[in-house]
Amino acid sequence: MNTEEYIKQLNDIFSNTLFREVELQTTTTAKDVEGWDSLTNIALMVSVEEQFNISFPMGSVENAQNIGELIEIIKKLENGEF
Amino acid sequence: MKENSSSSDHHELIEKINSKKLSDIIQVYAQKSKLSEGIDKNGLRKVKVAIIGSYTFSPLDRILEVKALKWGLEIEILLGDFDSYHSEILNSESKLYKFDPEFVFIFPSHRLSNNQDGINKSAEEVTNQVTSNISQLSSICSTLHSNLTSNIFVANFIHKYERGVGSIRNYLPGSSSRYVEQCNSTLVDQLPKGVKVFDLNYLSQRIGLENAYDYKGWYVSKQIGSMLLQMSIAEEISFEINKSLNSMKKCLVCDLDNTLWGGVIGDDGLEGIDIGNTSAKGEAFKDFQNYIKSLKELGVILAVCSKNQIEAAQLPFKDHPEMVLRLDDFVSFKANWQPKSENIKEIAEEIGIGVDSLVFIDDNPAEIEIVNQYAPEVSTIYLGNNVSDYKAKLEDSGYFEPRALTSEDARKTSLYQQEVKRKELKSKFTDITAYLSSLEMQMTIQPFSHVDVPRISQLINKSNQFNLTTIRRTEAEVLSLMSDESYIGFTVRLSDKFSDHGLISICILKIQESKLEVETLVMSCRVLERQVEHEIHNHIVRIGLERKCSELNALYLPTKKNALVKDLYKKLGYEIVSDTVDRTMYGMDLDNHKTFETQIKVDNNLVLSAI
Repeated sequence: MNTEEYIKQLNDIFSNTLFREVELQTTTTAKDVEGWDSLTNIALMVSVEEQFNISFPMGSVENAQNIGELIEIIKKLENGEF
Repeated sequence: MKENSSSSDHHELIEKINSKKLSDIIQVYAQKSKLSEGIDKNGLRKVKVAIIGSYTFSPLDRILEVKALKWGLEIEILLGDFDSYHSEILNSESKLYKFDPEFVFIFPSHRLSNNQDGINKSAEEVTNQVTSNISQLSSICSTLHSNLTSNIFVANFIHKYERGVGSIRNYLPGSSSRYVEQCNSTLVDQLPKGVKVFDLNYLSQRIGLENAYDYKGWYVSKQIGSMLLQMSIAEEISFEINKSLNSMKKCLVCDLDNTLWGGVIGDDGLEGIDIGNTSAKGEAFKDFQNYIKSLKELGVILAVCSKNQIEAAQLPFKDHPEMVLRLDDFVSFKANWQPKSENIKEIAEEIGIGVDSLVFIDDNPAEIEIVNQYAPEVSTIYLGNNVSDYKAKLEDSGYFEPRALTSEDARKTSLYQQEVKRKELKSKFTDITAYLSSLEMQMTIQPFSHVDVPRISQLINKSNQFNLTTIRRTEAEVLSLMSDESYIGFTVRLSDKFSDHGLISICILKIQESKLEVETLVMSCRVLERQVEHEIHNHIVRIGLERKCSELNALYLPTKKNALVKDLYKKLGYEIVSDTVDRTMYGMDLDNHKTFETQIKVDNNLVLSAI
C-alpha cells in the first residue's frame, strides 16, 4: 500500500471519528485538524489500531510529529519491524 | 433536541450519554452546544467543579461534560495540575481558590495506598504507616474544607489488579489488598465531617479490576485508569453532584400491569398474571415488589397510578397470595382512564407534597412521554420491557438514594471523628513547610555522566515550561560540552517517601574568568513547589564559591510557554543587569550571595569532589 492509500483510509477513520470531513496530508499535525484533542486522540488511535490490525507499543505513536510519521509507524508495525 | 423533536430522539440521546463507547461520547460532545438548550425540560443548571489530584484529568473533563447532561447539568471545570493538589490547596492564591468551585473532587495518589514489599510487615507496622499516610491526606482535606464552602469529595483507593502474593494475600496484614482495605477504612474514619468519600473503589469493582486498569495510559499520559473507569468516574461525579443539588424524592408512583406484575389484570385475571415463585418472570416481579417495600421502610411514600378499572386493579393486592405489596402500603391509589399526568398531580395534592418530589415509573414509553409533557416537574423512569432490569434502573436513578447517614449513625460517627481528631492533632500540618518536611525528600546532585546523556538531552529538548532559556542541545552537543572545560553541568535527582522521581532537573553553567553564568536551567514540572529550585540555586552558589568566582549571572529568554519561571531569578535574590523584551540578564554578587533553607536532604559529595 502506498502513502496515498494510507491517507485515504486515515481520512475515513478521522472523518468518522470526528464527525466532520477531514482531509489529511503527510504534513498534517493535531493542531491542523478541528476536533483532534486529548479526548478524540484516544478514539482515533484505537480506530487506527483496529483498522490496520496493529497495536501501538509504548513509546511509538506518542512521538509522531505528523500524519506522515504516523503512517511510517503503521507501516513498520505491519511489517513486524518494531 | 428542540421541543418539537420526537421523544425517540430524546431517548437516543440519553442512550448515547449513558453509553460506555467513546465514539458515542465524542458524538454528543461535538453537538453539545446545539443540544444543551433542549436536553433538559427544565433548563440546564450551571455548576463549577474542580478536579485535582495526582493524575492527568484530560479527557476525563470532556467525558464529564457529556455525562452531566443526563442530569441537566452544565459543568464548568477547573483541572488541577498533575500531582499538584497539595500546593493548590495550601496556597491561598492558587487557581483553585480563584475559581471558587461549588464542588471539589480530589483524587489522591495511588502511591498512598501502595505497600511495596510490605508482605513481611506486622499488623502494627501496617497500621502505623496507613495512619500516617491517611492523616496527611485528611489534614490537607481539613485545610481545604476550612478555606472553601464547596462540597468536597475525596476518592478512596482501588485494589491492585496483579495477583501479588496470590491467595495468601488474605492472611498477610501487609499484602496489597489488605493494605488498600485498611487505607479505605482509615480514610472514612479520619476525614473531617463535611468531606465525603468518593467511592472509586466501588466503581472499580463494579466494572472489574481487569477493566479498570490501563498501564499504558498511566505511563504515557498519567491517566487515572482505563477509558471505562474514566466513564464510570464521570458518571459518578455527575451523580454525586446531582444528589447534592437535589434532595431525595418523597413519593414513588407505580404503574401496575407489567410494572408490579407480569401481564394485564383486566385481560388475564387473577390466575393469569405473573407474580410469585411459580415462574421466572413472576419471581422477578416479586423481587421488584420486595425492593419497593424496602423503599417504603426507608420512608418513601408509595402511590399507584394505573389505567384500569379500580376493582380489577385492586384485586391482586387483596386476593393474590404471592403479592408482597398490599393496599395499605399505598397512600394514594388511582386506577381510572384519565391521563396519568392529571392523576399524578392529584396524588401530589392529596398527599400535600410538591409535584417535583414525585417519581413515576412505567413500562410504557407513551405514558412516560405524556407525564414528561404535561407534568414536567415529575421525574420519570421508563422501565423498559425486562423486569430483571427494573430494580437497577430505579436504583441508578439516585432519586431515593439516602443523602446522608441517619441522625443516629451521624451521631456515632461524629463522636468517633472527634476522638480521631484529637489523636490526629499532633500529626496535623497546615502549612507547606510541614508538608514538605513530611515528604522526607532526598536529592542527589551529580556532574553530567555518560549514562545520563539520553535523559539530559530529553529534558533539554522536551521541557517548555520550567525552562529558563529554551536552548536545545542534541546528545552529541551534550557530549562535547562534557569535555569542554568552560562548561559545568550537573543533574538533579529527587526521591521522597512515596516515590523516586528520577532525574528531574539539569543545569548548565558557563565559566568565564570570575563570572559564572547559568546558561541552561530546566526542571520537570512534576516537582514544582518542592523547593528544588532553591537547592539548585544553593548548589550553583557552592560551585561559584569553589571556583573562586566573584559574580553569578543568569539568563531568562521568554517564550510562549515559559512564563511560569519569568520571575524565578528575582525570587532567588538576583538583580536585573539588563532587560529587553526578549532577554533578561540577572546578576548576583557572590560576596553577598543568598542561599535558602529547605526541607530537602541533599547528597552532593560526589559533585564537590569532582570539581
